[in-house]
Amino acid sequence: MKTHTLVVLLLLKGATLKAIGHFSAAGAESTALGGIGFMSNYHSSINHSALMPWLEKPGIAFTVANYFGVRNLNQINCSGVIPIKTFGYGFGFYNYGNSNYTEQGLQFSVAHAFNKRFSVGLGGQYNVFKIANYGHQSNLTIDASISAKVNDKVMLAFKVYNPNRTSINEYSDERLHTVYSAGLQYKVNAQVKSYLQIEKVNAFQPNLKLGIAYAPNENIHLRLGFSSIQPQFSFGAGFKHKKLKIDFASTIHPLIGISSQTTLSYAIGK
Amino acid sequence: MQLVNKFILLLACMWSYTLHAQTDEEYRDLLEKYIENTEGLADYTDLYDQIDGLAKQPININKADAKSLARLPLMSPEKINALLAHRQQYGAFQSIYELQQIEGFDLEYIKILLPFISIDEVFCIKTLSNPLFWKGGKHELISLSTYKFEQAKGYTLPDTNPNAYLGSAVREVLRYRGDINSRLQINITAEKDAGEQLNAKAIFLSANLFYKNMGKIKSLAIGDFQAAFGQGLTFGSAMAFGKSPFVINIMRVQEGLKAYRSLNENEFLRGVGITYQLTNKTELTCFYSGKKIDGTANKDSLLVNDGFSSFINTGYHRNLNEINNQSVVGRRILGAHLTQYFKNLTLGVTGVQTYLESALTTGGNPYQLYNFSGSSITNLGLDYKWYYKNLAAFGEISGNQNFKNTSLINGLILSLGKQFDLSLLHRHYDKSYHGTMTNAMGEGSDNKNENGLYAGFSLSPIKGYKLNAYADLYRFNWLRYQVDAPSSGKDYLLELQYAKRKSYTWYLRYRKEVKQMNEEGIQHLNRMENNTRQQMRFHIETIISPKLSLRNRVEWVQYQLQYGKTTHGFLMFQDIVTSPLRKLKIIGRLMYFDAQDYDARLYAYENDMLYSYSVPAFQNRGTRFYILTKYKLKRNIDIWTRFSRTAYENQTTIGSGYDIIDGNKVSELKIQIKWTI
Repeated sequence: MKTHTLVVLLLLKGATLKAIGHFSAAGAESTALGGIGFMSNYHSSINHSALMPWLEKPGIAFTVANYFGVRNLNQINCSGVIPIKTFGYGFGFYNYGNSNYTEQGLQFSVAHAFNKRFSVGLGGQYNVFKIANYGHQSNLTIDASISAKVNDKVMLAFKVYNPNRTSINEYSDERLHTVYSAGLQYKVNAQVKSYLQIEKVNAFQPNLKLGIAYAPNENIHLRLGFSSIQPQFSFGAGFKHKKLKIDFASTIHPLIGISSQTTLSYAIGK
Repeated sequence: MQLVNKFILLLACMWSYTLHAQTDEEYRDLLEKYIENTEGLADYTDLYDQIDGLAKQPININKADAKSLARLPLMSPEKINALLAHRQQYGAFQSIYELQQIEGFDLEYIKILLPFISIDEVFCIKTLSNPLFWKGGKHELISLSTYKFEQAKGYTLPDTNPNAYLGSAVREVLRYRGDINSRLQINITAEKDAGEQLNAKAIFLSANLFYKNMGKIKSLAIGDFQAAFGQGLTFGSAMAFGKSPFVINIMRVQEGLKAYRSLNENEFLRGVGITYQLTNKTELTCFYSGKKIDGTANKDSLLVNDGFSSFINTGYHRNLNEINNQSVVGRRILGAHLTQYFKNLTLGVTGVQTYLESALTTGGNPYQLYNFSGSSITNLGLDYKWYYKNLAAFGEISGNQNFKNTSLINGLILSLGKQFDLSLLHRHYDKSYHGTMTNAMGEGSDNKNENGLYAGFSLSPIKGYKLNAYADLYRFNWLRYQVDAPSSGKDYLLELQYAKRKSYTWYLRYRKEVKQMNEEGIQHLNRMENNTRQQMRFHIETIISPKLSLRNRVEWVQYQLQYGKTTHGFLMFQDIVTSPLRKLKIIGRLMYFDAQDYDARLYAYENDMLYSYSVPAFQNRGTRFYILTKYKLKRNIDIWTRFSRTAYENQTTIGSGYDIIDGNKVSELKIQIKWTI
């Protein structure tokens, strides 16, 4: 019984960390903007699949992240998107932790753009939680998202993750978190975009995320962000060279310290 | 009229069909803003009827005078004058789009107004789409069934238990509305609440015959009807709007007599009423009502009824206890209202006498000291409305007990320029004033024991933007329930609306209310503490295509006790409104809510069947969704279905008393069929 209790507690802690925003949006681009999830990039397959049909080319993205400078708090994300006509197909994989405690996830998603302004995405995740010497638990979660381009300047986004509150295990009523988020993107001008997102994770306070991105030219991107629940500030930059793009992001927590991550993206095809 | 002529008119009107085709969805904005502050007390059917009645007989803006235009929602004197001046200068409106040329008529306002106006009776598609025009009659039969899947405790008790629900869990409503011709209307309504037995005693039956514009008889009501006059201070049985984001809409424009089609089983009149035109400028309304209503009967030592202590307005007769409280009080109401029209002035005198068959006794608590007790009330009132240029003034003074207990209300709506409207309202409702049925504007619902001053403005500084704000300062001069001293409160609202583009509109609203109540947790020596409720809402609506639109909302609430805890509420939802087929419309909502307690609860209007409206309160934490479909099976048959489900994360039971459900989920299915001939 003690073993089971310990497993549940650890899993809950891991799920809690994941849910409250540390890992909710994959990629340095999102992280630099305070964790805004509805960025149109190759991590959209994980973050907001409804955006996939609007990507011009297929591509992959690989992210390495470290939290608070602690050696054991590392995460890698790998994801890709294949847009075909009005559809988008995506996959993703993440690994968090070390040999003692590990969270892993495999994601598949599909999206359809009904017209040039509205798209819907659905995703399914297979999650595995492992604790050394105690075994592992796995479960399936789903997510659904929509995005709507109101006009050339404004875009709205909505996502729900795990609406059915999947159970962590069979012997208790502990469940994975449900996450609801709604966002708004406003294009101030050709160089500046601003972002706002409200995220609610079960009993936690609503998390208000703000981000602003400045692109002096199409190859350089500078980003600033804020997330209210910690609260914490973030910043980052992105550099594009032909089909290759590299993004950096750092997040400053006032007490725990600095987290940083790097994303490498590659667009496939002409 | 010859059929050929009608056909030509039909062709002439085709261009404007899309502009005029109306659905109940179009009143949604208006209804939500009006009713969300009523917090569940309202009879929404009645309210819908008021709006729908206006929509079914739209005001012809090419012919209407200032008094008629004042009936339209949100019409300020400036807008009325601007519209009349435009009409005088440029002639009759050729298109409703022409309204955009008038200052103050922005897109958002025209959108609200559209269902209620026409430009010419001859060229109005509403006239053509009305079967009365073609056949001379329209009959509408609606059947609604509602079923909750989870069983409440009342259904599980043995029939011998006086609290056991004796009937099935299905709620059934049957409505018939017959417009025999453009003057005569017949309404029949029957309702069986969930848990009630299907027998003549338990179900609610209502019927009426309503005749209007029959020579000098302006209206005649036989059966169940509503009556409201002046500002509703002396008498107003119909539901009326309270404070709302429509901050200048503070003047009541009552209809006098009105057919009753709602489902509230007690708050209406049953008898006969008539409005008679004495002269061209004078009308007299007389009415009599006699009916039995529900109440809590007092029993003497021999268990014989000895008066009663309270009215019961739930309308439920599900178990023996509720059945015993059914129709225990006979109430007779006799009233008259005289209206005299002058050029810009309307004066009215109202007199109402109410008799109760047995005496109402009040409790012995100090806060009940000035409550009505006895078996007879007489109310007399004088009301006025005066229009002068950009100003509308209105008010009513009313009293009972030979005007010992006098209450009054006075208001002013003033247009200070084309972009700025101002509203002011003062009210003094005496602590001893008693009205049988009142609906004057106020913080409380019973128009007594309240002094208040309300000021609001509506400003359109930039095209497409509108700023609405009000402040209402009020005081209760005597104690109230859970308030052991005279108390006061403040209510502020600030709303910024954006409606520049047709593709999307949004508003940002902040509301703060400070109200004094007993300090929480203190048992003996109560002191007042200020309870502050703050609310912030962002709402955006997007039209993606003619077949698809979205609605998003995020809302926060904070409730703070001066000497105690602070609790929070949060709500967000996503609506999708789509018409994938010509005959099919689907509205879906997914919502998440998290309110720590009842004080931090949140309200959200929900789409429902035709004639069904709800603004449920949400507390605790959970997810809710609903899917509403409307399908046009045949030209004259419409079918609605609605499935809703709420799942709580932090509850093991839902509800209270004998309505309690064991579990954390509640699901409901509604099916409605409308047959029109």
